[in-house]
Amino acid sequence: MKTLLIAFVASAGLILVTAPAYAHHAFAAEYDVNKPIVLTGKLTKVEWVNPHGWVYVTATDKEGKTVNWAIEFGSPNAMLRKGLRKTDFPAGLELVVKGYLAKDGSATINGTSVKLPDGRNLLVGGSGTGAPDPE
Amino acid sequence: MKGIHLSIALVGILFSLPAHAQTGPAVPRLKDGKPNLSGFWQVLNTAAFDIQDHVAQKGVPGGQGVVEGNEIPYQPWALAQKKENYQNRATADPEGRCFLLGVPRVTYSGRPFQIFQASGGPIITILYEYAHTNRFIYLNGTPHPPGPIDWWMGDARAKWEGDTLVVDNVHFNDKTWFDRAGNFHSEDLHVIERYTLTDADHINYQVRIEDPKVFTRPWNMNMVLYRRTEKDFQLLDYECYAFDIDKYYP
Amino acid sequence: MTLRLSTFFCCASALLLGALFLMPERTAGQAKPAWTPARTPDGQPDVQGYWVAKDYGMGCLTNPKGEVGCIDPPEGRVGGKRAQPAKAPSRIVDTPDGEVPYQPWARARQQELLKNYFEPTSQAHLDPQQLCLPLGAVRQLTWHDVHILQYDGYVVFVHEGGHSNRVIPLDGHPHVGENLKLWMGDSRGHWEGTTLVVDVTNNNSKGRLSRAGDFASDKVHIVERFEFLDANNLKYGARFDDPSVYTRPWTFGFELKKDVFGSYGVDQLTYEHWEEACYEGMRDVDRSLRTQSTKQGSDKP
Repeated sequence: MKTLLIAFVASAGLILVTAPAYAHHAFAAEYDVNKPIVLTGKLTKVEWVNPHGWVYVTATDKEGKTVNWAIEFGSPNAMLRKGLRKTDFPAGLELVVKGYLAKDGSATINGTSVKLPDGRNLLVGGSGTGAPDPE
Repeated sequence: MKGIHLSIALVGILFSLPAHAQTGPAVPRLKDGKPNLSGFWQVLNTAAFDIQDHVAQKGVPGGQGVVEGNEIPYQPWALAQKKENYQNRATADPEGRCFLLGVPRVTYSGRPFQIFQASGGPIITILYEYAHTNRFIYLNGTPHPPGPIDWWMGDARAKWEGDTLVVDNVHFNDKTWFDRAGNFHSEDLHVIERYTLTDADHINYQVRIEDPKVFTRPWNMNMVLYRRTEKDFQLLDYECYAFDIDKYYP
Repeated sequence: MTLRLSTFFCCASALLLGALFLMPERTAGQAKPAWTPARTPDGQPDVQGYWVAKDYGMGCLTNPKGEVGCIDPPEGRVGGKRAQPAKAPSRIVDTPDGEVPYQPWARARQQELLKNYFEPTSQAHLDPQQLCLPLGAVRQLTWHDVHILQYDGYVVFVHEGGHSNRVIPLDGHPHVGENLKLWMGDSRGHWEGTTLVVDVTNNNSKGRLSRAGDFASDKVHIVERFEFLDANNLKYGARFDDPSVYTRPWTFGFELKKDVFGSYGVDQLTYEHWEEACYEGMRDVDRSLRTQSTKQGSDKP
């Protein structure tokens, strides 16, 4: 299992920061590596803020309830330097989100990938906390 | 009679000199010939509370405003918003939450700042005591990065026009106010600052505000920056981020 | 023709004296500089640019690339047990056992803070760095990168992370009054050849020294040596002297290179620090404490 996990990270072509503790906080202080999550939803907004940006996605759970998820990603400056702007992310985009749940029980995810239907990953800078990509 | 006419003429000449002309020591210059803005500066006015004329209230000194003509040309919807801001200022003012102040509010926040300028140097650095804010004023001819970008302190690119440093600022978010009275702007804010040393210890600071989303026309602010000349003066902390919690970190 | 002995000694001495006279000037504690720097207008070695730690990491002082406190977090290490943690040289460079020489009460306090790092239940358990607060003069150099600028009579550090800064006057005027405790301390510097020596006092020491709860007190006296080995490499050491916390002084040391955090080989002349307004962007999750219902093991999604 663990070998597959590492191979998946390598082959998916995701750009992740390799060292575990680059962010302004350690991943493990706020998120649970044993609680991976995948969800599909619609983008409502992107917050281009430090210390880490936020992507907000509404998704419907199995019971039909709509939940507004906050997905944490790395510093927006990495995206700005690559030429991305907030206008590249209009509301309504259909997204597939992968990440880890927050320990405090809120609808908050440490995002490892936020993918458009064509497969492009919005998180070009990685989440910055070194969380791995779940299987 | 002739003597009286001469005296009147002399008095007339004296009174016709520009009102802001100072008589202090001469403007210091760097090797590249530019006026040297380096040093510690602070305002003495009350623009931090209200940039327009205002009478005193509890905790707020009265003051003559810094807005040219004392009128801020809000669009009708924006004037209503400003009044709402004013009503809610005790909780709605971003300074109350220790957010960065934006430009030009950081200049007249009432706390000192330090300007660093090198002869021929590409960057003038300004460090403000308020929440250790910093601004890099790029003098190297580089353009603003392309927008839209939402920064609290905007992006500053400057050039000299004679002895005046002209600083062009864009890429602001809409979350800062101009003062505690609720005067505000949109993300389209464009601020042009002009710094002119009138003598070694005074800077004429003129600001032009453009924001077609909020105002019906551009408008200006004018004020004097005073040099802090006390021996061994330096900036201290204003770590407002920590005021509520620093007791937990002995 | 024989050389007279007196002539020989005379000439030999003259040669020796001449050689000594021509040797490079040495000042106390400084080796012969290996490189000839460009100079700023006021004669400082020009070291301006963006600098970042060579072995970057915020894990723990003895292994910056390790996990926080060099222990596995309660849920397990990122990557699982099979993944080996990366290693970087210890930042504690001169104690016999490679650890911070805490007095017993101080070691106990540090261990208590580390124990509560992953499941904080009170404000004091939250690392100030997580709250976007300044990290203190020394630790701030380990987070993201630092823009070193030089102006007449000053070296200025501007840190992108949390927009902290440090002004280092070089004119030797006195420190501020000892009751003024500052987040980044109060710095006074001077150059010894190509080494910048900085005396840092008036530390409020609230910034802690690592995520693992390492700390000094507000009585700490720090002397830093920034040894610029050449235009792109810097050997840094900060001597911590605080008899109220440690059994002896120790040195926090690591190497830096001219580069920026997260990138490699950017053009130093065109790169710019952009705004990182940290505090304004914090959300509840950044400062939440664990309550009974949210403690590890809860089923809540």
